Amino acid sequence: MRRSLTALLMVLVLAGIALRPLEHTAWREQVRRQPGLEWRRLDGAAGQGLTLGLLGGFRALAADLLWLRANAAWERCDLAGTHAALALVSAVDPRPVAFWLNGARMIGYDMPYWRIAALGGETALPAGVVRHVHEEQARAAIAHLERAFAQHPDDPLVHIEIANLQLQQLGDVVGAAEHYRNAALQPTAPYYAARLHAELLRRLGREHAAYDWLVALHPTLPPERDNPYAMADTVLARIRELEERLALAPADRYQPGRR
Amino acid sequence: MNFADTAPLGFSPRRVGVLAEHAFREAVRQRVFQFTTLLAAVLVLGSLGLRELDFGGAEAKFVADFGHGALVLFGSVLTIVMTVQLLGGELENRTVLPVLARPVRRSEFICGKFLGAWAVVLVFCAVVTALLLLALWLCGVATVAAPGEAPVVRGGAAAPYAAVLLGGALQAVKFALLTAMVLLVGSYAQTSLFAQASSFLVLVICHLQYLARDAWQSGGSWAARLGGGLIGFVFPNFQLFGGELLGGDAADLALAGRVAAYGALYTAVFLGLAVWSFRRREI
Repeated sequence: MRRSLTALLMVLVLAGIALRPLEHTAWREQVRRQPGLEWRRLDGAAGQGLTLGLLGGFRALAADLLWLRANAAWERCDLAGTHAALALVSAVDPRPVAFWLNGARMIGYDMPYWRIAALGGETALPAGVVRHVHEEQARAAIAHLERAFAQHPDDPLVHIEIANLQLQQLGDVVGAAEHYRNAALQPTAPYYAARLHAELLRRLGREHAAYDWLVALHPTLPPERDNPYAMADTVLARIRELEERLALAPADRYQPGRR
Repeated sequence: MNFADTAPLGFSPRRVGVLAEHAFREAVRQRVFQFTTLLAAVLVLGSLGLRELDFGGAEAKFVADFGHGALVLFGSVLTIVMTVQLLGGELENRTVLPVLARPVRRSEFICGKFLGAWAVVLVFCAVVTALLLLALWLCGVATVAAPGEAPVVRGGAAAPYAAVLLGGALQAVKFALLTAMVLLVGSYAQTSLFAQASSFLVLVICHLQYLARDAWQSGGSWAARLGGGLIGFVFPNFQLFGGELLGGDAADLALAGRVAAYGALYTAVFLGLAVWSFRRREI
């Protein structure tokens, strides 16, 4: 019995070694498309029901239920509970971008107010402390979003969310402009990302760069009557504004359809 | 030693076919097949009513994930319970003796049980995949990929049907492997209960095999490395068969082909070991 068990194990190990190259290439490709469940990050926090659900393949449903848990903690302004639930959601199912975006909004925009309230309220605290808390949470939210890039490389919505946090919470116009640009370069980017990049370039005083960007952008946009979200007429109006400000000669001005 | 193994009796695919047909008919009559198929069907179609529970992505993606979960969970339960009943039941009730008293090789007996059990699982996979396609069609959203939250510049929707079909096919390959593994366990086990419990344990290990591989590769204590390496090489990686992520392009088909080849080769190994083990068993 013992000898046959040893022989059986030997055969299985040899088969494992022989099939290793096939498994390795397929597994590498699979992980590139979707990381395996991060069981280490679940760290015992998942109950038996959740574990069974995950092993059974109900990953999306498990993540949805955890998202409900995160929202319940968020409603109670429970800082630790919300953080823990958000970490679980992203460990169980990092595929939906919405989990990353909404989680970052909770961390970056809501949690500072919970922390400030716990410290005695905005009126009782020095302005520097209030600002520090806002910035710390914004950085935590950005770090949360940067983890999303492992699953969603260069996703425009993640870039835009980072840019929003940098602009609104950190006042980092340069960083925000860069992320709006990264978003706009992606094929599935919303149209407004490119317009916001140009607007921030203008705010930074880089009007030539803003003009060049808009001139390159305008021919790629559908006519406004076909897609009002593209706002091609608004982009053209901004181009004209910049031409006035830059005092460009009529011959150097942008002519739609000519370049 | 069994008479059939000493007699000059060649391996007969025809006898295997007869045994497989018998095993298939026996398995289809089992309540576990009807029960798991019904439950999976209810879950797949019920996912249409649970779409409001989805917060993360597109409705079609939720329905596809949910249906795939039903296929994986109930397919695994069906494969283990049915295969154990097919082999263990024959051994416990001694009905295997009149079969093996005839000119039938033990290898033919195991191969017949394997094919019969797998045929039932194939029917299950086909029914659940068809229902999932129907649910997606009823859902009326032609995308599995999460859509952008705003109008996009370029880019179209991904087709979900190819992913569902590929996912169903890869699960069928995985269940073939699981069937062979359960037959190996069943050929050793003295009771059906032990065979079922061990098979479920093996299923969990196979789903978490990649963690053992990680432990082996990432270093740490020598005990962790040894244990991780042993588990990583002895058990196949079931996480590879998550074909619901695939689309229908050439790269996806090539990946699915590699995974299917991996599953088929491992199935052959486990089936060979099950035959070897069953031949050595005292009945």
